[in-house]
Amino acid sequence: MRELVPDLQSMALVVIFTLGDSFIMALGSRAGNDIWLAFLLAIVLAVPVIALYARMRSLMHGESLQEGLATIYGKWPSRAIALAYSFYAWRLGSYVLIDLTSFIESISLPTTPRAAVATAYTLLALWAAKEGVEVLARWSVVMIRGVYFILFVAFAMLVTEVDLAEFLPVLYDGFQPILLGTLQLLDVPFLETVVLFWVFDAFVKPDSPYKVFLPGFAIASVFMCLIASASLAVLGAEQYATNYFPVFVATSRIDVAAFLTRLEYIVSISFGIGGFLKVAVCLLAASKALAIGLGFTDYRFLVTPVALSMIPAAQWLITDMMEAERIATKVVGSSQVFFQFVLPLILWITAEIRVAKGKKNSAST
Amino acid sequence: MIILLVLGYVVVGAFELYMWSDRPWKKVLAYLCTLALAVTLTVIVVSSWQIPVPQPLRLLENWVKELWAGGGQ
Repeated sequence: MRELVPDLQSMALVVIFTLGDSFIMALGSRAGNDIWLAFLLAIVLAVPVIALYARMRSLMHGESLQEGLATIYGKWPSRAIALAYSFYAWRLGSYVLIDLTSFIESISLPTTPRAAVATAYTLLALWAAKEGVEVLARWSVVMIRGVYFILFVAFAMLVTEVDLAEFLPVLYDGFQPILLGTLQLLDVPFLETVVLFWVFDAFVKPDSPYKVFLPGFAIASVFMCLIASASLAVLGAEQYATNYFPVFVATSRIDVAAFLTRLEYIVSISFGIGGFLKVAVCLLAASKALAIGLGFTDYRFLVTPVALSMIPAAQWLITDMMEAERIATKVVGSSQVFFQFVLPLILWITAEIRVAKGKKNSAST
Repeated sequence: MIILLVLGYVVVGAFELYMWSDRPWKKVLAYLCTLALAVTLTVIVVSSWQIPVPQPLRLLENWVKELWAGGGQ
């Protein structure tokens, strides 16, 4: 049975996934006080790549993900691609899980074992993934109003503490820091949206992938740009780069007439919502891609073992908070470049050639 | 601790398999193999064996680093 999700619900899922857990981290910190320029450049560079993901899904219209992949790439290559992306989604889910547990450990539960928090989150994500993308998308539509409200309030309050002089002088260190910041942002979180390619089984119309991916990404990236820039203007470039959770620290400084304080906890709510959805989506994508890779039409029976493997993987892949922060803010990761850009580019070129050939053959017969 | 955890996985696996309405052998095999991988990872983490994380794309990363000093940091 195909899981068909309305465009608006899918878009809400894309927004929350892109915001995810990462907006609270020191995104684009290498750009220094030119962070807003790095964000703008990263958005401009990410849009064509995300349009490429949308185009690939658009070429599969009328078929489920599994059928579409098999039609375009053939049975065995499509299975190999699915297995590769299953691994990528599984690893990303584990990274998000460690980000969540590290944040909770640092902020509120320092003596609780990380495995306990990871298990609680994973069980919740397991339930959500078993319910499928339709339920996750409906949940996103409900939660997105809260996320918008929280981020808007956080931004509006941050503006009261902002020192615009922190952005000056513009381009003082030249273009290289901006480029490094841009690459940081493309790596995590902008092009992580490639995981969503594997989540949606089918779309309503041929142009639905564009209507889902591009506006969803645009909304999330603009919010991230505003929040990160405002946080930098509150903390200064140096403190923004050295803090693990600069947005959290910046919002903790909000003090409106000694009445509105401790607003950092409302940002944590948004972080919790985004983090949970990202883990659930990664789990869903990993299970779905694994099922396609192994040749099964149903993926739900694989969700439990994949989810259970993410808990130890979160402890194995990253051992401490410093490593989690390093991975979230690194400039270029070889596997990320491969899965987010190189492989999709090869797949897109192959898909265009094959679809064009198919059309030519059907026209001649 | 390890025995307890493995036992936990066995219980979860047995319960899930019991709950399935039908059990085609291919599905059962795929399920058991994936669960076995999860158990292996758990044993690695709990037993504190210092097994490095495999990085098959390290070659590409080294190449990027050579091309552009500071890349991959």
